Amino acid sequence: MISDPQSTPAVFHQVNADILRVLRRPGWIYFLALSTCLLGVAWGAYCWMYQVHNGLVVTGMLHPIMWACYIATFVFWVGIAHSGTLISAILFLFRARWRASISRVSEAMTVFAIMTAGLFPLIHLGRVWYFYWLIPYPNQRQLWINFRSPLIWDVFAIGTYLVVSALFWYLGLIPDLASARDASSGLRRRIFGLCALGWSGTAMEWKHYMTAYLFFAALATPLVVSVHSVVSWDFAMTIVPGWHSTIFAPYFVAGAILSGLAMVLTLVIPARSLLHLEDYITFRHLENVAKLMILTSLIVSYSYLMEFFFAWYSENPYERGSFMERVSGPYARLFWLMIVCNSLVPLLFFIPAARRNRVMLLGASLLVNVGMWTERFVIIVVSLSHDHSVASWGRVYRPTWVEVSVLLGSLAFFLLWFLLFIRHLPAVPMSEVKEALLRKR
Amino acid sequence: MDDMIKRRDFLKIAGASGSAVVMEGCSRAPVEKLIPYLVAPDDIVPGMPAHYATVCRECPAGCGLLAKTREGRVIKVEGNPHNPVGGGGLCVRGQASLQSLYNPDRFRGPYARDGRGELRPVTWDQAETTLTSALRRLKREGRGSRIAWIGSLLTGSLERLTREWLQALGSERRLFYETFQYESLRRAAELAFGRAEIPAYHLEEANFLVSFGADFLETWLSNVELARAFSHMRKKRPHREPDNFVHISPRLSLTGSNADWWIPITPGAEVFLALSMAHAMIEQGWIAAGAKPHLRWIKELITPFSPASMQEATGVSPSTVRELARRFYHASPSLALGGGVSAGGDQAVSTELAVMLLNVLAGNVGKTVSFGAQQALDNLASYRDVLALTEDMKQQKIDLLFLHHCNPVFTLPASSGFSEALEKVPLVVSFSSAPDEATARAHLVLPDHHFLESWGDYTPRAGILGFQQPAMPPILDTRATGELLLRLARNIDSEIASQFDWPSYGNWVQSYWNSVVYPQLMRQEPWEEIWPAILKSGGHFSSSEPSAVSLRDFSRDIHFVRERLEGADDGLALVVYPSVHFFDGRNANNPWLQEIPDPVTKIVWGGWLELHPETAQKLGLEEGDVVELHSPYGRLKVAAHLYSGLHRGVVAMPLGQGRGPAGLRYASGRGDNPSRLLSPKPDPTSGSMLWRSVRVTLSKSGQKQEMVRLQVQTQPVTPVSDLIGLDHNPMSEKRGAEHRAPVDFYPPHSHPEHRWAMAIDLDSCVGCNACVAACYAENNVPVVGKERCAEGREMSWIRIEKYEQPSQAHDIVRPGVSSLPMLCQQCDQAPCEPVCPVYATYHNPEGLNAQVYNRCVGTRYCGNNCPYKVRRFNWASYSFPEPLHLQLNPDVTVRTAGVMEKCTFCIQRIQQGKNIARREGRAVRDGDITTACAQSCPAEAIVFGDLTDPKSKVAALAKDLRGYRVLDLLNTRPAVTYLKKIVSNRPFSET
Repeated sequence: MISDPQSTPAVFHQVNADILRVLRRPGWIYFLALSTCLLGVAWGAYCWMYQVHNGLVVTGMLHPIMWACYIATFVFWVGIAHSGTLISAILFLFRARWRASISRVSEAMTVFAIMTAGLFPLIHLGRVWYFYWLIPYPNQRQLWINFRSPLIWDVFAIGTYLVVSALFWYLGLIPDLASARDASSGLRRRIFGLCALGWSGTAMEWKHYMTAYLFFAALATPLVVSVHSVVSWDFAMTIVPGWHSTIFAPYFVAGAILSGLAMVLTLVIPARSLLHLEDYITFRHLENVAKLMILTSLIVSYSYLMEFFFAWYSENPYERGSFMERVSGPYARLFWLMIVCNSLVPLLFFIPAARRNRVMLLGASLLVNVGMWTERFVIIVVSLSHDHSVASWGRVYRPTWVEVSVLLGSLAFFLLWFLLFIRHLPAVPMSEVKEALLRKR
Repeated sequence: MDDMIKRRDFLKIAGASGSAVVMEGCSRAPVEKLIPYLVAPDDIVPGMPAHYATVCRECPAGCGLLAKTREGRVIKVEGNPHNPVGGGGLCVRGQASLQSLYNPDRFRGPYARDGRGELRPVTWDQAETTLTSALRRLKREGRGSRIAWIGSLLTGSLERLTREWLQALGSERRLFYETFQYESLRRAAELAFGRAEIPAYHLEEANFLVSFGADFLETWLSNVELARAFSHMRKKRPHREPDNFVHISPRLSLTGSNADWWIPITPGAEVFLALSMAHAMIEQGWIAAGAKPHLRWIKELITPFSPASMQEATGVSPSTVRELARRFYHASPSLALGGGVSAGGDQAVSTELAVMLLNVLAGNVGKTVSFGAQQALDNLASYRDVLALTEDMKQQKIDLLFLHHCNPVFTLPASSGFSEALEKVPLVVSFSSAPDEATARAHLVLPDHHFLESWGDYTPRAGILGFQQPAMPPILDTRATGELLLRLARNIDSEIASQFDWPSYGNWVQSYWNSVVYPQLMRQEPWEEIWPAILKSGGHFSSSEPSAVSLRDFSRDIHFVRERLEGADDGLALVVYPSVHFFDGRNANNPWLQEIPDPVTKIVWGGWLELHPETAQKLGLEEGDVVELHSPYGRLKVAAHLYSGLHRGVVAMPLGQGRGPAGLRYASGRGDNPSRLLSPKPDPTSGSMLWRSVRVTLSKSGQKQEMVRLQVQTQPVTPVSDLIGLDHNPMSEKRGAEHRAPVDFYPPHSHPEHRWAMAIDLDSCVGCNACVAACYAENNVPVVGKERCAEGREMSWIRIEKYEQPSQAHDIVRPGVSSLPMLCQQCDQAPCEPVCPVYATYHNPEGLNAQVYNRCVGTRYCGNNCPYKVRRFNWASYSFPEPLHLQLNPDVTVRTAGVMEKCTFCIQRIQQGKNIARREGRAVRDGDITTACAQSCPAEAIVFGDLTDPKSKVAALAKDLRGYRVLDLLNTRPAVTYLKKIVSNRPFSET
């Protein structure tokens, strides 16, 4: 449709029409998916309430493995949240223009992932009804929080990231919301109009908009590095063998980006087919994501290697024991699954044909998702099960149905927001696509 | 303006609704008083504990006890330092006696069997009337001699009351029955010295100890007293040659685990080893002067038992025997003990005689072994007497049987037929305070008070007159047995009534002490002066002079032959041993004792059969396989536990589990009762029961049962050396004051007033779990049950970590067992503190790693970062079934779900000690304050105190050469100093 190079307004109109078409009344598949997610969220919420009522006894956690699936999933979702900002902010600053058509989806994914991640520190608390004690607020009891605790750093890092990435996402949406307003009528028009903040597309507005976007991109970029570094310090700041390591920050950031990219592929590939956006999200975009995955996967593999090297080189028997436990202990199968998914599967993308095959791309991205969750599980659970206290060794953690339900509920929570997003907001940034088209000329 | 509320209207409405709320408030729950004492009783000051000195009656040892009460409820028991038995220490069972007091399964009143044969609650009047008329009828018809009494060991006032009461009715049949008797020991003493009595053993005097199966740290004779003596014996031994305890037994018990050497002897060969030791001593001329006059017949007696000729039977090489004999003789005075599983067979008397012979040859009699102690245990009825009673019951010669705190249906071999015989007795009256197997067959249940609610006395041996006073009023509708006997006497007939004319049992006890005990004391002071002192110190204690004894020629009275076992020839000898926690099963319904791991196997909430791993492999059995055991007398099913501390020819099973079906919520349905496999025949020589009488065959049932072990890893791994300090050789390395130089980012904590600290001597710790039970009691630590334990959610704040590094010569094993009591180390650089986001845990100015329960949000981050893994998270809110909740310490918060908890060195006791010192206007003195664990330790292995006081014991111990900190490499700088266990790595061979 965009092939006609002669009439720019007509092409731009076509872009608007293609992308805003998605916002019209959806079919039954969409409603089925939406209600499945709603059910999932409801079930997860019920299980959480069940856990609040009975205590954490309904989970599989025990002494000494007092963190497990919940924290692993927290780290997983925080990781997912990373690629959005990477794609929209860092690649923006690097002028990697191919990012335009997938930036909206990945930004939305970032916001929803961070919302999902934010649930887990609450879910895992022993007394969630006192969660606000983690926030520094003036109170008559003169109680204060401990700024030395990495958990407090988490509160700030995650909070900042949520605010900045949500604002960044919203900022990018404003011109498109105005287009949506102009293309719709009635109540929708009023809502879109309200959200578009009276955008009329004047040159002055565009000038301010572009400056603001640049600033936000510059602001968000350090957050990509800082958030997951802080999350990694939850572990690195402790003295648990297997956690206490200086490489954790870059190691976790690389892992986060790997998992985030994988999640972008997982979401974008079905979405572009279902929403008929193949013209806008092309194999060029997908290939570039796959190439980035190779890079981050190699960094992650290097980190795995270094962890073992440090354990060996330190001659610390606890460190060595902890890593031997990963390789050969009761969770060894998960460890090897992690190696296959995170270190070997992305290497497939060295083959160009694999990068251009939808099924291969989707399959590999799903495996990386699994592998990255497993990585967090292995780091958390195996290290705790085999630390300095020899008398506490030999105990095995198994997740219960409550934990599994809450995890699935969180996935449903994430997908629910995503589904709402793709049907209610322009999933591809029209203004940026148009800009790219113009530049192509 | 019209629709506005006027100020007056508002006030009217507010006033009316306010008073409505108040009215509503009045009509509901009545006003509750938190402390319902307008006029408080003299001895109850709200918030202040009152202590009552009494005697522990959980087992026949009779340790002194201090019952700590708050607002009229016993909340803790501690050893009574005035009483030489226990000397301030208490064992795990004594600590847990609180839970037999507050046990939710206790009878809440009397029961009688109704027309359909079911036990129904009745009133005391009904119960007494029934019994009175039965007694009256029996007396009138002259059938008083057909009344029998079988019950736990009694001394003093209740012994006299029961004796006279039964005599008044015409009965002479009163048997003091205890499961673990010392008949063979008494018989051996009678043969050797002409005195049928249990000798007194003075371990603290000995320089070398050989135990033939005597588990004196667990249940044998008086375990707390002997553990204390043992620790004294160990403390004085030279560090350069520390080996001075050899344990000889087919099973490595807790006692054996504390030995330097263990000889895993063929069951039944103990006697031959003892004799060949004697042979070696005589051969080498290692004979004490006192034994020389008897040398001729002794030589003749032991000639056939040379070490070489006995090697096949014992499995011990002559060189080992000679070395053992050499050490035994040259360490004079030494001590040989015989008992426990090694004195359970039909050659028990021979074994005990051979052991006595060793003591004679080494010149120990009169030094470490003495006679004339008049042990209460001497008065026990023998198993043969119990069998005779059973026979009479079967032949319907008994019309009325009283069961007094004993459970023969459970503890006697099932094949003895006691259970069936009970059915033949027309009236069985039980005084048990909780359901048990024998009481389940009684017609009338007249529950007694718990000993903490009762008057009484107990004299475990001459000179030790323990006095029992009620520490609190009874919580249930029970009646003291003494009281009941007096009430019955009043109503039977006027003749008996006049004989027992005491208004209450308390009066009887007091008048007994006034009229019987007082003259014996031979004190100048008037009774009125002595009496308060007795109440205060829990009795009257003096030492008694031992009697001189001389050896008799017993060579014609005994023939040393091999032990005979019944059962298939290819079977394995069954060793039944008393449980450290449950004794003979009487404590099995006690949740603390079920939840605290067995010190040897670390199993909780279950029974098991111990199998040597090689035996198991041969039979194709694995851990947790349910095995069917067959003996000639019965069969049972029990889960297998692989344990390498066994002779390959035996399987071992603890007595105590397998209680039920008496409706015991904590004990029912766990394991099985090994006495169902045992022979009913008494030992022909001594008349005692045979605990080692059968061989059993094993067959796999195909079922599996989960063995819940709270510590799986006990094998040596590289890092263990950091935990038990193996890499710190106290002799070669400079340690103590020069711990690693601190490298810290933050400035050190200042401790201006106190720095509470602890020193734990691993050389003294025997791993008996007394500290663990004490901690449960003091700190309201909840019991979580088997399922939660299996999930790894136990709550104990202190645990005994066990590490084994055995090394074996061909016939003798160095068990290499270390027990490491692990509790919060109150680190100076605590890893848990910086990670808590809300300051729920912080370093307090006295060096404690405090935990604020109501600030905790439950991130569990602290627990993850604790390298000692001593923090416990409340995965759920745990309940304390009524009336167990009455035991809770009001000074300690009961924690709810979602909160992290841990040891804080009994901060409430520290506060109490500081308050007392402040009130008395002085500084806290060393020894004023001690933690519950340190208080209870029979071996005095735990010392608590203030490091800022340079003269304190703990400050001195912190600089001890043996001192080290667990996981020092992490620079956590704990407040707990461990003193390394003194071990030698020299082989056991002639030098």
